[in-house]
Amino acid sequence: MYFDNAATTQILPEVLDRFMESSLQFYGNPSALHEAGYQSGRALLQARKTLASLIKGKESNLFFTSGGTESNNLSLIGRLIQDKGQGHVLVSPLEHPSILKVIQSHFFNECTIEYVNVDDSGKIVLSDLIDKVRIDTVMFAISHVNGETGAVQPIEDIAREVKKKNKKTHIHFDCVQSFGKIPLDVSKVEADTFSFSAHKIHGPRGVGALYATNPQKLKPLLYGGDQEKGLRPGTENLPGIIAFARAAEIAEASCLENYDKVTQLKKSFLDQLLANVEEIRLISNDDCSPYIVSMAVKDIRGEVLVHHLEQQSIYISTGSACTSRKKNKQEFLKKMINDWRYEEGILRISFNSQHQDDEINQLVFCLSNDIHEIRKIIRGK
Amino acid sequence: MYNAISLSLGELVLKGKNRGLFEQRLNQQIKAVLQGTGVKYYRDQGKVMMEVENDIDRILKDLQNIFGIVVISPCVKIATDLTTIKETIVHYINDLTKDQKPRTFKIDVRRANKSFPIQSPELNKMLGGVVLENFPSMNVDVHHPDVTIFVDIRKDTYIYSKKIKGAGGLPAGSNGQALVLLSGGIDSPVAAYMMARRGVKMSCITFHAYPFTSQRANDKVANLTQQLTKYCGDITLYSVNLLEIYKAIKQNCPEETSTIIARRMMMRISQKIAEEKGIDFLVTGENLGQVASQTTQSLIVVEESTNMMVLRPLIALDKNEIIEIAKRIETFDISIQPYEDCCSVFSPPRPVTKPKLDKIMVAESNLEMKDLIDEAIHNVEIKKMTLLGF
Repeated sequence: MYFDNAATTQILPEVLDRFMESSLQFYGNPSALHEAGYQSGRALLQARKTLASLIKGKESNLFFTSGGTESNNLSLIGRLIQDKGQGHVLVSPLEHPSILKVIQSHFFNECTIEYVNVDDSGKIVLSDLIDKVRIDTVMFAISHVNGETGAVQPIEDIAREVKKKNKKTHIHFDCVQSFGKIPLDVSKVEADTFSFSAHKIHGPRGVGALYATNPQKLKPLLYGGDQEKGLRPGTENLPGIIAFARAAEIAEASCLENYDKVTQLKKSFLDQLLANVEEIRLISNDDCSPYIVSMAVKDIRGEVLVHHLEQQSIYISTGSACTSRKKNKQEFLKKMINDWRYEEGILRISFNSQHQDDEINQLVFCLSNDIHEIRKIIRGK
Repeated sequence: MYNAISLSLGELVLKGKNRGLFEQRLNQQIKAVLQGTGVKYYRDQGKVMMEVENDIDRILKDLQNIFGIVVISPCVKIATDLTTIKETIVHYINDLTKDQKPRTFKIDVRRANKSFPIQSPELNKMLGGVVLENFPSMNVDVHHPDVTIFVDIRKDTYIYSKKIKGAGGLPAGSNGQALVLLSGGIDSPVAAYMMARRGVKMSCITFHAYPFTSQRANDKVANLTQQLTKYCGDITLYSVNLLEIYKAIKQNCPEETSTIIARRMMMRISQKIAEEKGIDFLVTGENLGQVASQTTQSLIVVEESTNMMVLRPLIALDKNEIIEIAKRIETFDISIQPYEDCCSVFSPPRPVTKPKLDKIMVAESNLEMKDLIDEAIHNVEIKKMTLLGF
């Protein structure tokens, strides 16, 4: 039983079929002049239209990439190069490494980086953000749904307020965790760029997209052919793109229905778990995405629970605080918990819309048993 | 230009009656390095000579890992014939001057083949003359030459100028057997390497507490062991799950004593396995003062748990010296992978740093010692790692 869907998801059989069929059918290079190339070009355009329409955007503003990481890099570095590599940059401290490490990289050496306050669930403090926007603020980046805690950011409000204060500030939203789960209408959000990834919505690995309202404000990171209008050269991953579009259609078609279902699953999971086990602190709150539950368990290292559950073929994740050396994030998660007996025990459980009630019951049963057993051992006499 | 390699064996040739055994061990190691290359090698008057056509850089690098070899020289091998020797020296210096500009040189003839008619001093002069004639900008300097051209006259003749430092020491497995306690950290692989350098045949034992520790931590120790086979030859790795012992300690002993008692249990298990397998002594990566559990008092209390000899080759090294060796033997990057090991998962917030033996023994008396040790050994996993496993 797989409860690590925020890390990646299993590809849907239907999407995989699409991938394989299109690999055989559209083998021509979309840039080629002959009929096979023409057919591939049409299929590419169709996939682009499908994806653009799902987010109420224009297909001419959608650029395919190799995934969320590349999209985030392209938005931030691509824009910074255009801005001569200088200025004030705002960011949430709980971002994915493909945002945090980018702004800590040498590209941003000439920039001033400032972190924006977040609340105990990882949601941004909007007033603090607005206070921190300056006349020389070139950029602000944040995830629509935080991958650690599930916090949902009010992207419409953020974009409107930031632009009101400084309309030149480049706003980037990483929508990798929200796409297909929370409806998005890019025409109503005054942001500059949005990132998407296929493999978080039961699509294939190695394909994603960047939506840019003003693509001419971005410089490419790679140079080569004219694919993606030169913003992302390289022969297109056409089967991946077609499968991505299919996965997105499936997710969007039942987006609201799935949201309600997963909300119920999350509620059932938490109700049962908290009734069975004491000394658990929730990091995610009711406003967070139902797809992600982050919590801290007292006196147990997250990794120990991961290994106990894997023996019963149940797969969950630790919070990044335990496993990695992502300093900023570690400090922030620890500050949110503010108790050393909890801070090693951060777990992340991430659902998908196909989970069933009995799987949730089984997860609660095994997790509760393991916590009790391990605490008995760890606490000794 | 090089088509041969010569190896000098140093200490090995001094070893009197044991020399045969030592050479045999060395042969096995060289064979393993040359596996699949088709390179032939042979003993020739105190040296090992090999003819190498391809892959010479890789072979030179791998030979530097073999204990017992002191100097490695890439050579040009030619027929023992005066005209050929003269011509080759000119070619050799020509090639050499492509990437360095020696201004002074010296010719150093070694005439092991006494049937060659010209004696060494005379040949030195003659060949020096050839160089001066062909390279007018170069001068002779017999004391501090920029380059020394060695001319080694045997059945064939070898011309060389590079002397690459070998690993030294004694061939692996020529000096008894030891079991090293391998944690996955930086120190213990270095300890294994240093003992192997003195000819000790190594086996490794590691302790984990799955599912409190990760499978990846086990893989990491296996990777370290695999890397060590480059220097130690084949290694048997014993992997012991200590979980039941940790549980028993948690249940029955004061919390602050758990780290030191666990270490004593590791020593007992290691000793028992060593005795069963005919291994002579134990080796640890312990180092004085590095962490709380490595105070003199702790070492004394740990030492008391076994009556087998325990050697600690890193005891007086500084951490940066250990890291330097770990980087050189390419275990460092494996060691720093961040997986939980059993020491850290079960360590109490405040471990005792100056344990008193009598108190530890009282705490231990609550454990079913023999059953716990027997059960742990009963479930040991054994992996044979070979140099060819790479």
